[in-house]
Amino acid sequence: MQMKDELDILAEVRKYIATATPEQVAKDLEATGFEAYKGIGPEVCLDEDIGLIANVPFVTQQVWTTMLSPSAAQFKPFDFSHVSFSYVTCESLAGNYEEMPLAG
Amino acid sequence: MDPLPPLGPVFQDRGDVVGAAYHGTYLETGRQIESGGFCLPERQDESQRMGKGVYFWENSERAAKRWAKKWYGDKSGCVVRATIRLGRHLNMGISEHQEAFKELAGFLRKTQKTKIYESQVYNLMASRWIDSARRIHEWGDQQLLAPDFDEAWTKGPSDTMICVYMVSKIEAPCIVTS
Repeated sequence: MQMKDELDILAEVRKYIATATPEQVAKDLEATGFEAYKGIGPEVCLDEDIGLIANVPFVTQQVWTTMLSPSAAQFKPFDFSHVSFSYVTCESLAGNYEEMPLAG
Repeated sequence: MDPLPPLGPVFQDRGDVVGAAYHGTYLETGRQIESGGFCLPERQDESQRMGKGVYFWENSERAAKRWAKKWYGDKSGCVVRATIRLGRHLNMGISEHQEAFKELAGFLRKTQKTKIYESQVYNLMASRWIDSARRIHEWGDQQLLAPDFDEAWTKGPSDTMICVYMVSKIEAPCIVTS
């Protein structure tokens, strides 16, 4: 049964992706306080091939489990020895390492 | 003979109500919330990972106490309990919702040619589709101590964090710990 507030979020997002122009997206982001919220939380880190949003350790030493892979068996943890206050090394499902700036 | 319980997965009711949600804040702010209700924060800080909203711990006063102590200190923090109507709800514990988030984040990153932070993705979702969002918060200190990730994942403490983007969805706030 369809609940009153139930939302097919995936379909809505895909509809948006299919129709929104980059200019429209920029406007939409600006309207949400895009600039003001830069640097809040971990940066989205995507593996271009697999589409994984990797886990990013936070600078306060909390581990933010951003997104898990569909299978826990595929998931690989970070090597925390690479964590510094400026950069974090994350490992993607493809086994590639990428250095990226920490948020904040 | 009692009937068998229903089989199959239990689906999240996205129109559900969370009867006991706990918010950690300054004591003075808690008093203002009690008398005038919640309002969206004007300032941002690094705790607002899920974007511009009011943050709660689902059914865990203890988690809110811990959070309030971390951010507001032993003496000036308090915990406010409230009821939340989730409305159109993004549940990051559901694979379909994770997929939606992931696809949108990837789309933003490609079209905007700039760094995209999680909070920005949540904010865009909140502006168009959702009233609230939910995710599991891992208490990182325990995870960092665990030598094996799988062990940390199964045994590490975690709580559910809810971010509410429409304050009209928050009802009956009252201070429960100060």
